[in-house]
Amino acid sequence: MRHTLEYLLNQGLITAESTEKLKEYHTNRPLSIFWHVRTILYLGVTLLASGLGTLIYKNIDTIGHATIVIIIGLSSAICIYWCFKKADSFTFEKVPSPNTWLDYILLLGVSLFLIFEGYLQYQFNIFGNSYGLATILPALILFALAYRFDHLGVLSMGITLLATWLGISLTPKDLLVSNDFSDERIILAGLLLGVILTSLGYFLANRGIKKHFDFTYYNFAFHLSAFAVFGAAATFSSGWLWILLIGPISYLGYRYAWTISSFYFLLFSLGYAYAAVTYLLIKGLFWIEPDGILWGYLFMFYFIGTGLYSIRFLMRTYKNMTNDVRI
Amino acid sequence: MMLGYNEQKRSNYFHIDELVKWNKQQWISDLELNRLDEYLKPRYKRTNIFVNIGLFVLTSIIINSALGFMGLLFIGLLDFDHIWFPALVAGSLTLIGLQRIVIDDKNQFRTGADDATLYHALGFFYGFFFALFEDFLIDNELIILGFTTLFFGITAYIYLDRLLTALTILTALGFLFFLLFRLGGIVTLLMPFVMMIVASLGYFFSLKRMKNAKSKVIEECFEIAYWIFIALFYLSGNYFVVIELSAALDLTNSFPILIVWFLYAFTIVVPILYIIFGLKHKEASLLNFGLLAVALSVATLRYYHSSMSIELELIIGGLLLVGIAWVALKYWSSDKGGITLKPNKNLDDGLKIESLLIDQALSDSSTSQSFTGGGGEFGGGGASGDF
Repeated sequence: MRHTLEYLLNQGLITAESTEKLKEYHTNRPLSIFWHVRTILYLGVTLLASGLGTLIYKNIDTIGHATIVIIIGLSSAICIYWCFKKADSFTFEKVPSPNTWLDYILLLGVSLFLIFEGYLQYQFNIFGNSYGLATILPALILFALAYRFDHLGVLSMGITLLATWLGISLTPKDLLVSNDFSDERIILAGLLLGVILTSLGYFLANRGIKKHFDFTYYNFAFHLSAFAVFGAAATFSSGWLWILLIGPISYLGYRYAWTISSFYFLLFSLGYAYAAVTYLLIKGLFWIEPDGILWGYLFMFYFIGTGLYSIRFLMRTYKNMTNDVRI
Repeated sequence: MMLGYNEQKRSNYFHIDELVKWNKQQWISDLELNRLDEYLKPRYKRTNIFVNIGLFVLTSIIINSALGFMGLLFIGLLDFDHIWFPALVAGSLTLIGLQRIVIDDKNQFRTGADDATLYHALGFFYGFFFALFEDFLIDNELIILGFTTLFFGITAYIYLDRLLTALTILTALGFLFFLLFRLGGIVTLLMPFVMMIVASLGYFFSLKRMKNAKSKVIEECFEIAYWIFIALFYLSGNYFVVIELSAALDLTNSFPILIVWFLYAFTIVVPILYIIFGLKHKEASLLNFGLLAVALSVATLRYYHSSMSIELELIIGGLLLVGIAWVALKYWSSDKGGITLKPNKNLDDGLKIESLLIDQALSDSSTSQSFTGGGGEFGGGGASGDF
């Protein structure tokens, strides 16, 4: 700020008086602790929920545990009830949170609800052996709450539960760590989930129902299906055929990147497509002739050429996407 | 060949970046921005963080493939006893490519492409020096650290790069650490205090240089230094760091009890002081690090004195954090003492700089000419002269 003001002053584009005024404004403007408070709240709620979860887990066979469980169930109910009391009435549009607490109380209520439900299933088998029902029901409740209170965090939790229901346990963080993408069933479930989430997101957003949720749906769908495809390529017997599915995935990602001017989607579409093409090429060349120094040269050329082309592509798309002449 | 970035292009880059931000806040109109845009040429390209990541990866792929290609060509000639020679060639080629193509021709600055090329070139040169002087470097950490500091320091000075600045300071601190350790005796025990003094001096120095910096890029480099010294001050008195480091240096239990108590007090008090000073002087970095330091201090105390069960700790911690947030939300429900709960982007709504810009000067073509003529000497630094 200061340097640009001094520049403008030096060029005679602004008066010394205005510069002083702006500088003074800049030094006097308050420090925002908006994110600090929210981070603290988020951490507090997370710690509280995991503490209570551990408490139940550790005391599962002792006498006092019934009390703890009842307290947790009640607290969850109170939290969610409070949200219903405080929240603005429902609309299909994006609703700014009327009160800082609402988002976090809801998060706490939902986490406690999941602990409560998990406990009931574990201890009393309320859903019997239909574990599917034990995950899809809370998933549906989470979706409903996410839409009611316009909460992206709860929506992500709901999608995760939906994925669990489909046979995958996923959170973006340990997508790579915990998921064993070698199982055929899991790969198919991942692809299926990609299709379901994409269609669901598209359908709802197109109807104008919480349009801003579509990013979350597409984000999950995009990465999940891409990982499933690469998993399939590594596992199945004629895996390289599966790689061709990256084509539509990357294309949809690229289209979406243009729709919302998202460089994040642009980068990942390019990255997945690049990985797929490189994979096919290497696979193909080794199939033709498994060894040879010539391939070494060709690969180096390939990487240099595609690298240069991709850089041009990224820069040009960036320029067109921002529609900004000032690049 | 002049190494480094062009000063005028770089300061224009920062100006247009700032002006686009002003435009987004609607401080200046599109028309005004477009006029100013004409003044601010030539300049480096502006990009987006995701584009930068992509360019960084792609550039690295290109450089490594190009070198791999050359390696394949000359594989018969490569002599692994004299690896310094290929390293020197690789380093020089990358450096020339960086300056000629990436910076001068393609106008890349902080786009990922220039960073990737620069770091590769430095890596090759570093490898070259090590391969060449390997025999009398390896055993002496003081020589290694001293050389590395010099190496990073010179390149940081040439390119004014933030990562290199950070590395320079960190290696310099490492050098100081080993120097004190080599001196031995009482000096080793005084090390935490020496580091605290260094951190305080460094903090005030970098804060001052930040405020008086002649250009944005220098300001940002000193900002990096400022963060490092904030962290260093806390860490040099943190109980865990001091006790475990002294144990690693075979000095277990050599601190007098008074010092041990001091370290405990330091670990508890400093994070709180950081937060208080951060709020009082509106220094976001101090506040941020203070909050982080609270977590580190809690972890430190837990490591040595953990009497509670984990679930109780989690619940109490959670309740405390929610309680703190509650107090903060209550206390700052209206702006107080220069602190606000409103998000940052709402703070500057409605500030119309355009009403302050001198419109006539903007449309006056003579200003434009005088600028393009004198632009070379002017870039970035000139401003403070008249000011």
